[in-house]
Amino acid sequence: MQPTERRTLFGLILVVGLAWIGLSADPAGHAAVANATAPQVGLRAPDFVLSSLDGNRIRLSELGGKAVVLNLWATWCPPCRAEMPALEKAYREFAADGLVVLAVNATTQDDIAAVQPFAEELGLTMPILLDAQGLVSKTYQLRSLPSTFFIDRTGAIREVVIGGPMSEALLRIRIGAILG
Amino acid sequence: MDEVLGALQALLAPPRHMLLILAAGWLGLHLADRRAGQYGLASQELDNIAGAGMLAFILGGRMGYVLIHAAVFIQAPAGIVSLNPGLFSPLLGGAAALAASAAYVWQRRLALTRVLDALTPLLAILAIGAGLSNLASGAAFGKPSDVPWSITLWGAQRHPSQSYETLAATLTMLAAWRTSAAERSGTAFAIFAAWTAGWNIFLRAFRAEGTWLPNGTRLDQVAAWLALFVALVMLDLLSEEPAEIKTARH
Repeated sequence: MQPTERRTLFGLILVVGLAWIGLSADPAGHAAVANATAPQVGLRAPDFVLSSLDGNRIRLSELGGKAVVLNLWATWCPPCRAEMPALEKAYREFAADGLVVLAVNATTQDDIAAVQPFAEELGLTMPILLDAQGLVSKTYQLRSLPSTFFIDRTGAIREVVIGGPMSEALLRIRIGAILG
Repeated sequence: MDEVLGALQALLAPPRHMLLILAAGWLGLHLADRRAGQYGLASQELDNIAGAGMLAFILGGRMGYVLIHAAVFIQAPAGIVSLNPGLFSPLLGGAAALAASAAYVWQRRLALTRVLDALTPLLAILAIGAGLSNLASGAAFGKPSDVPWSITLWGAQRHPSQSYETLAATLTMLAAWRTSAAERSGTAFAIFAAWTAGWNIFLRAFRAEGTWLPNGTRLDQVAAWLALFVALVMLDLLSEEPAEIKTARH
């Protein structure tokens, strides 16, 4: 190929590329993604309502305006146990800034009688929710315990940490991000 | 014992899709090693470059992240050696890997374009591995679509953007692999770079997630266009007759 032909071809490729970028621009793209609901980073966190150990019913969507750390756990899971103190510490430290930590026990794969002693042993004061029907586990496509979803004030999932234990540093950085 | 088991569980915990990237790295390096001789390089040199790059990627990514969030790590220093891959900056890791690899190439006085050509199979297989990894994890998911080949993902029928990208990366690998080592030094890498940038400009439009500029333009497409521009300039220069041939003709 002659240099002139080659440069014309390359120039054409660049112009077509530029045109495609313009044609595929989507001013509503980001908003459209943010409005979809699924347990995936960038999407809205699926809503749920669960009862807590002390009998209160908590609905995620009613926590509007607050940042939420949603942690799925079980009493028999060593990494879950290991990260609980850091979660409790974060709950106490950042509650005034608008953070809610929801510790959702995967009750369908746990012994419900073990939950209360577990919470007392670790001195947990954050809300312990019981996923007795496994709905949250299913909706959030739980693959591994623990799993933690960091949800910002708009209800969008900003980070998913599968497995654990999470270090305190990781927790603080992710919480800082969702508190904004 | 529980602590040891806990550490092992953490090592083997999801994201298991990262194993696909590791497998791709191993296969890519194997293929690159096989072709190293054609570019006048010992396979050991490529292994050393890849090893130095990988080590720098891991250390640079973690240390860079620690520096960015220094205030947090001062409060919780145990996190510096945490096994959690979330405490990592891929951008700084990549920069450290490039710096370490470049330092090795410079120190060994290797020809950079030959090294890039020799490493092209590794880069191309890694791109395929990234596509497969995204497919396995559901990351880099596509826009909602009702095309007959759409897939159900994250609550909607979507473009199988990960499959598109895996296919494009495979075609890129084939194009780069067919490039003869007899071509001018740097050609295989430039072809790989041009193809990769080209399909990224086209296919990123089908992804649902990404970073948008205020007018709705995707930042990743703009970056890919700039990369395509550089790759095409490189290909143009490589297509020129070498000066010594021109001189001999005259």
